[in-house]
Order: sequence, then C-alpha cells, then structure tokens
Amino acid sequence: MALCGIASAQAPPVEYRIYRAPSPVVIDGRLDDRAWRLAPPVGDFVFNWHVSGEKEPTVAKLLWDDENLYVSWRCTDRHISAYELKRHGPVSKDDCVEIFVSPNPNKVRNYYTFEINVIGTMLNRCRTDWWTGPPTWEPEGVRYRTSHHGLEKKDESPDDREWVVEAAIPLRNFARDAAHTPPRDGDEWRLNLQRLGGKTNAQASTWSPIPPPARSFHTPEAFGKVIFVAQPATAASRAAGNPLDAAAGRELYNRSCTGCHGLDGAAGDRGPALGSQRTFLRRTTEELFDAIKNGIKGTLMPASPLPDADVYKMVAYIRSLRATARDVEVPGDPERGGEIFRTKGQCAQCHMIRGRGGLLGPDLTNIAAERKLDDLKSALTVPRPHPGRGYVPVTVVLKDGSRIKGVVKNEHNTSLQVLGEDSRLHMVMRAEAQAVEYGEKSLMPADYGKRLSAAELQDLLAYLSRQTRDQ
Amino acid sequence: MTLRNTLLLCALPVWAQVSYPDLLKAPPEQWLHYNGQYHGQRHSALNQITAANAAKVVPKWMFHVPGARRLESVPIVTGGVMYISQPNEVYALDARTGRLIWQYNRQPALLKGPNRGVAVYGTKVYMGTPDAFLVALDARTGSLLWETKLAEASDGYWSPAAPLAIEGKVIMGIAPSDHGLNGWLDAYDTETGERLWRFHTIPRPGEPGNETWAGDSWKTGGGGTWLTGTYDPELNLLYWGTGNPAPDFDGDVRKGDNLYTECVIAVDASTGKLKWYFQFTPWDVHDWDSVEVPILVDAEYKGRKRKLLAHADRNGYYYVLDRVTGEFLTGTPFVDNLNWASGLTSKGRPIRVPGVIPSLQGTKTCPATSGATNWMSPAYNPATGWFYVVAQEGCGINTKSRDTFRPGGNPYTGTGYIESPEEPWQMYVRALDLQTGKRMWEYKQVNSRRYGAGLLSTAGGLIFAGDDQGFLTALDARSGKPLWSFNTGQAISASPMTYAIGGKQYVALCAGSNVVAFGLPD
Repeated sequence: MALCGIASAQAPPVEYRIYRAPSPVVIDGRLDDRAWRLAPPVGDFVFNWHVSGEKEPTVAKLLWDDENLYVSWRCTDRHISAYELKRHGPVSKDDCVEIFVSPNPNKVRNYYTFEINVIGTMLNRCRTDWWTGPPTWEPEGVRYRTSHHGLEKKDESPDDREWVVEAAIPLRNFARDAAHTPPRDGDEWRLNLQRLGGKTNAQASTWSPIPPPARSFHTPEAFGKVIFVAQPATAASRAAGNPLDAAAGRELYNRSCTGCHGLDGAAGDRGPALGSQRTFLRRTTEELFDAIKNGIKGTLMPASPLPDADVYKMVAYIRSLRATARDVEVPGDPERGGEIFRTKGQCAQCHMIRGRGGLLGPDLTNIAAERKLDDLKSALTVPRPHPGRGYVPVTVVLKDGSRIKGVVKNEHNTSLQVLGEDSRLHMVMRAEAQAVEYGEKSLMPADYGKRLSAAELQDLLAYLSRQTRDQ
Repeated sequence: MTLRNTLLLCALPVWAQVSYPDLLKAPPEQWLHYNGQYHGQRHSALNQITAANAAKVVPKWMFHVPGARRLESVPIVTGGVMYISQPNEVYALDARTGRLIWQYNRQPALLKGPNRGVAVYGTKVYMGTPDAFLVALDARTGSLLWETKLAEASDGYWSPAAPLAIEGKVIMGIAPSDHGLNGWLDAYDTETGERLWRFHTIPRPGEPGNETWAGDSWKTGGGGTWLTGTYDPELNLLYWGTGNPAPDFDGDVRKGDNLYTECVIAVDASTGKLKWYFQFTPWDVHDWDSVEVPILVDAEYKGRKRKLLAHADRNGYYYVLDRVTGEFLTGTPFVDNLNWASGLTSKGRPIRVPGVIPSLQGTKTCPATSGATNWMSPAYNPATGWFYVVAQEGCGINTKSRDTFRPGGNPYTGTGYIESPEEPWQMYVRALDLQTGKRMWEYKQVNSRRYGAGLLSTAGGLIFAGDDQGFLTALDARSGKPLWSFNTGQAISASPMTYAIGGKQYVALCAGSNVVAFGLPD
C-alpha cells in the first residue's frame, strides 16, 4: 500500500506514445520494416550507476496492434558476447536487453519481465500479486529474433559494432492486469527498457532513470509512462521523436534560456533567436547538446548544470522549433481542418492536395514537409509583403483589347507564361501585349485569423501539418 | 445519349485541353502523340519549311534538362505548351520560347532510363516511371493527380515507353525483355487510372500459343512492350511490337516459336483481346525485338485499296501486312548485310540459314544485335509513297552460354554480341518503296555507328534525321540530298517532331541533354 502511494505521488520521469504499427512487423532481427522506420525511438538510455567506461547508446522502439506489443532494441557495442543457451538461464550476464511491463498504472508492482540475450535465450518472470507459480513464467506466443540468433555461443570479435533484438509479445499475456485487451486509444501503462551485460564493459542502462538509492531494475515505481495511441506511426511521428520530450524541453528552456535567446526562441537579445528564419551553425542533436552541456567558448553561452536527460529535452525542443510542420505535434482535429480546407476556408479553390483542388496556388500535398508550422500560421494570418515567385497576379491586355487574368508562372524580357483564372496556360510575347499589369498583393487571403474561429484555425493547421507526400 | 448525360455535359463545361477528336485528327500545328498521329506515319502537313528554304533554318531556342544525359523523349506540343520528359521528370515549356512553366519530379526517384515521352488527354499528362508506375499530372500545373502501379519494380520491371492515349484509355507497355520477365499490354482509365484490361504477350498454360514454349520456359519468356505502338480507330485495333524472348541468345532452353515474342500483335482496344498476330522472327536467338513502330497506311496494293501495315524489323527485313487480317503481303531485306535467313516463305516466315546461331566461340550474325533498325521511329510520306527508315549495316559476333534466371531484375541474356571486325557498323537513312521495299535512295550518316535518332517527314518535301554525332539534317524526301544540317553538340537519340504557333513552323527534338527548336529566321 505504501509503495503504491509513492508510485502514484511521483510523476513518471519519462513518457512515450506507442503508435500502432502502420504495416506488418516481420520478426527477423533486422528492423528494416517500414513500421520500425516510422516508429519514434523511446529516447536515450541513462546510465544510473555509471562509474567508468564507455556509455554505448541503445535505440529502443515500441509499436502495437490488436495482437501484440512490439519492442526493438538496437545496441551499439564494441564487445558482444553471450554464452547462456538454457531457457530461463541467467541471461543478464550476457549482452542482454529487457522489458519490464506493468499493464496497470495503479498497480505498478504487478509486472512481467522479458529478458533476451544476444544469442536468443529468454528469461521470463511474472512478478504479480496473483502469480503463485515458480519464479519463472511461460508467456504465450512470444516471437523474437536477435541479430546473432542461434544455438552457438558468441565470443567478442574485433568486428563487433552493434546488435539487434526484436520481439512481438501477445497482449493476451497482460489481460489479467490491463484495463483493456487490446488497449484502447489513450490507455496508459508503465514499463521500463533495459540493457546490460557482456564480458567487457557490462554497463547497465535504462530508458526510465532509476533514482538512488535503488540499485535494481526491479524498481517498478520508476518505470516510464507509455500511452497507447490508435494513430499509426507516420513519417511525422518518427521525425517528432518523442513529442513529450520537446514539451518538457520547452518548459526547461523557458525557465533558463529566455534571458538571452528570448521566449520560445523567438527573439534573442544577447544570443541568437533559436527558432527564427536565419542560418544556424549548430543543427544536429549532438551539436546542440554539446553547446548546451559545455557552453560555447569565447561567447556568453554558459555550460548548463542540468542533467543530460534534461539537456536532451531542451535539444528536442530547439529542434522542434526548426522542424517543418510534420515534425511538430500540432493539436486540433485534422479531419475538421480538412473540411474547413474544402468548404468554409475555400482553400481548395486555389490549392491542390493529392490531385484534388484548384490550380492557381501552390500544390500543398507535401506542404508539411516543406514549411514550418509558424510559416503555415503566418501564411494564413499575416499579409505577405509580396506575392511569391510563380504566383504574382497579372493582367495582360493584348493588342486586340482582350485580357488575360492570372498568375505569372515564368517571365523574361520578351515573354510571359501565365496560368489564367480560366484554368488555361497562356503563352504571351510582350510584343503582342498592350499592357502587363502586375498585382502587388498575393491572391492568398491572410485574414484567416478573422474568417475562422481560433479552434477552426487550429484544426486547419492540424490538417495542413499532416500533409506529406509519404503520408 | 441519355437525357441525364446530356444534362451533365451541359452543366459541367470542363475545358478539355486535348479532346479525343483532337487526338484523332492530330492537327498539324500540334504534335499530340509520340509518333504524331495514331497511324504513326510521322508525316506532318506543315510546309513552311521546304526544300527551297531549308538551308536558312536557324535554332530558335534551347532548353537544358538538368541532369539529363541522352534524352529519348519526343516532345508533345498542344496549346502552345511543349511537354518533354526524362526518367522521373516532366517539363512543361513555352513552345515558342523554351521558357519553363512547371516541372514534375518523382520522389523518391528510382534511377533507370530512358524515358521516351508523355501522352496527353483532357487536362492530364501521362508518363511511365522507372519504378513501373503510370502517373497522371495536371497539364497546367504539374500537380500529381494519381498514380497506378503497373508492375513490381522490385521484380525488375520498369516503364520507358511513352503512353498512347485513345478514347478514355491510356495504353501502356512494359520493359524489359532481357531479364526473363514476361510482358503485357495494358489499358488504364484516363480519369481514374484503373486498369481496364491486360493482354499477356506470353500465353499462360491453357492459352493458345503456350505450346510454342518448351517445358516451363514460358515462365521467363520476355516479350516486353517497351516502345509505343499505333492505332487504327476504324478497326479499333492497337498494333504493338513485342520484344525478344529470354534468354536472348540461348534458344536451347526454350525450343519452339516462342509466341508472342517478336510479333506485331493486333489487339482489340475495347477488350484487350488478340485479333491476330504476325511473328517476324520465330525462336529468335539474336535479341531482335520487334518493337519498331508499325506504320499504318491506306494505299493501293496490287490494284486493290487496302489497309496496310508497314514495319522495318530489327532482323533486317521490311514487311508489308494487311492490317485487317494480319495477312503477309511482302517482305524484303532493307540492309545488305543479312546472313541469317535466305528469304521468306509465302507466309512471311524466315527460311533460316543453318548454323547462324550464337555459339560458344562466336558466330558472325548480320544484321548485328543492335539491329538493322531499332527504336528510332521510321516515317512515311504519302506524296512520295516511300517508307523512310534509319538502318544499320554491319555484323556482330554472337555468343551464347547457359544462363540462370535470377528474379529481381537481373539480366537473363545467355551471353551477348560484339561488333564484327570485318563488317564494322555504319548508319544510313534509307527510302524504301512502300509496296515493294525497293531502295529508292540512301544517305550515309558518316561516322555514325549505331542507334541515333528517328525520322520526321514533312509536306515541305523534307526528311529530318538526327545522328549520334549530334547533327540534325534535313534531306530532300525525293533525292535524299542533304539540304541543311546543324551540330547540336551532343549525340541525338530521339526522334524529331514539328509544330506551328502563330503561323510559324518549328522543328524540335531532344539532343543529348537539351531540347532544341528550329525554324526559319523571323
């Protein structure tokens, strides 16, 4: 009882959304399925009890469908070894990964373990208040495969670089504790992902940090929070990484960085505006992490005293400021936004998406991969100083007095190529025209802040931020 | 027409850029098909540029296609706009100035070439892709409207041919023939991209013709449809040449005639059913695809008005068929170097010279595998009554070995060929009498060894021919005398075409990585 109290009082240190698998997951220890490519990683593993030695990274991902919880680990490792071949043997002495699952967040001490070494030996335990069997447990129908799967022991070799474990765990194994089987959209579980072992550099690392004084993976109070999402993983979800990291990073950023870089990275007085339209020197996660963690010598940028996990969250936030719209978690109802696009907003009169819509404006099929969310918002709400290239309004008066109204697709001193409001292309030689009158304002209305309610505008942005070619 | 249809048509006055009657008529000011018109004659009624003034022709504009090497696209021109393609890409240009209007880039692009052009219908532009899709673009913006998968690209299929648009349908072929992948001819709905029918060029078990393949050899038979065919709207028949059998050079593993490889197939455009076929080279072992454009001509033949089909084959023979029935009328060599057959039977079947088949040591084979002719389009001028063709003289040394079919787009050729040292290759433009195949004149393309460009015939009495030295040349259609030429600076691998805007005739073609348009000085 007391333990449960502690568990619910402490917010889980990390959170992750488990997307539905958008396509079948083939359990072959290769992780080259489209589904895995689209699934975002859970985030960096932390080395809770690190003393010395290299911190080799692990990339873990989760997916689900009506049958299974899918989990994968990709482990960077210069020294790969494993010897245990016996079912339920002590696999954690070998290079080994683990997932501990609490299907009921109100009863985190009811958890199930799956520990798999690099040569494919598994150990399972059922640590629940209802289990009366032996210390080990036989889950039903678990399929898994490792990159060194087999019946042979694995000695270290100079070629060792990385190894992979991939598993499909039937959800029915958790039916006794889970609220729903399969889970419903928004269902919350708790779990942790771990890695350890091997002859050389047997570092123990976990996804969800385990605070001192605990010295064991068997600390369910410290498990991270996972939320099952009915939405399939997409390119957007992958690129977003863990959106909750970015949200947490935003809070951290606005607490400690605004003095120089401005609120939300929008306007820097003493440091660069981190999310504005400018050229950035540091772009990658590593470069940004280094700048925050160690500061930038010769500038006012100080080293941050925050723990690495928090620095990574700030990095995620800064990257989200710079990301195109699809990489950002945009609230709102995309379906209603699509409706607004086609009806009240009249957007489809000029814009085409996936082969439907008008011609005069840019095709927006891939807009979320091309533009930042802020740019989409300002295109809808802030008048542009000039029409964009290829979309300048024009009226051509021909020698016979007839007029062509449309937008200039291309032009030069002798000719213009005009897409007319009549949906035809017009090839005009300037010598054949009496007058060519350019419009100074873009045909794009910029008053959607007024035309639409705040909620409608948000829905429209939610719709646009999901428009990618590889959707 | 029902009342409901009438109302619908009245209520929706959709502007069709290219209607079916346009495609049928193919007005000379426009160039609406890969080969200009459904009959594939590549003869234009435009006559502003003539034998008398051809010497004055000048380049009017050039457009460089970024990243292109050897373009094989034939430009389509309609409504003052020119559409050209390279693999994965379409460009819309102002046909008077060469200025870019829009471009389409397929992402992610699989690199495989060439692409031979687009088709237009309504307000759509159609193109086949290296990853074996048919894509439909909006002709005014280049927006992707839909895409339809033709075949699995991972199997090795791809789609280089320009589509052919007929009423409500886009006809599409597939490549290749050399990987042991079986071909077909497809029809797709112009509006939705839905497949309407498919004709398999290699008959499956139970279908007539399957017995012409020994054992299971039909499974890897080839028979691609990688060039654009022709169409007779009256008969509603499509005429399409089919590719070689696979493995190309080792016939031992596929004894039999190997239908319908190296045929012209006449396919009902409504149903996709085979009306008739004529096989040029039964059991070919020299990779002599018969995809060369079959030209449709209505003419007197031996005192009787007939619907003819004229075809110069890669195997060195020129054929005339009755295109209603497929009856063989005449066949005669159009190259001097021909050693594999001693003649044709009364049914048009070649009389093989024993021993002229690929061997382990190499066998002299004439014409060479590169072909007496190839994808370079021929032309027909109704005024002269002559058939114009780009021909290669010379021989090859053809070898064979036992090959294994490997799925996934691996070559399955059973070895290959080299140029014969004794009979080096040389390209010619030749005029043949349509009826008899008699050579009327020839023009030697000095220093051009193989392939090159197709031909354009105009009512100005000219034949335009490109070559792999980069020259576009205007020849007198009656004498073959060169009247004008221009060095485009890059090898030409595509056929020229012509169009007119504002009363001015242009001749244009893809030359290397550029599109170049020519005309008379202003």
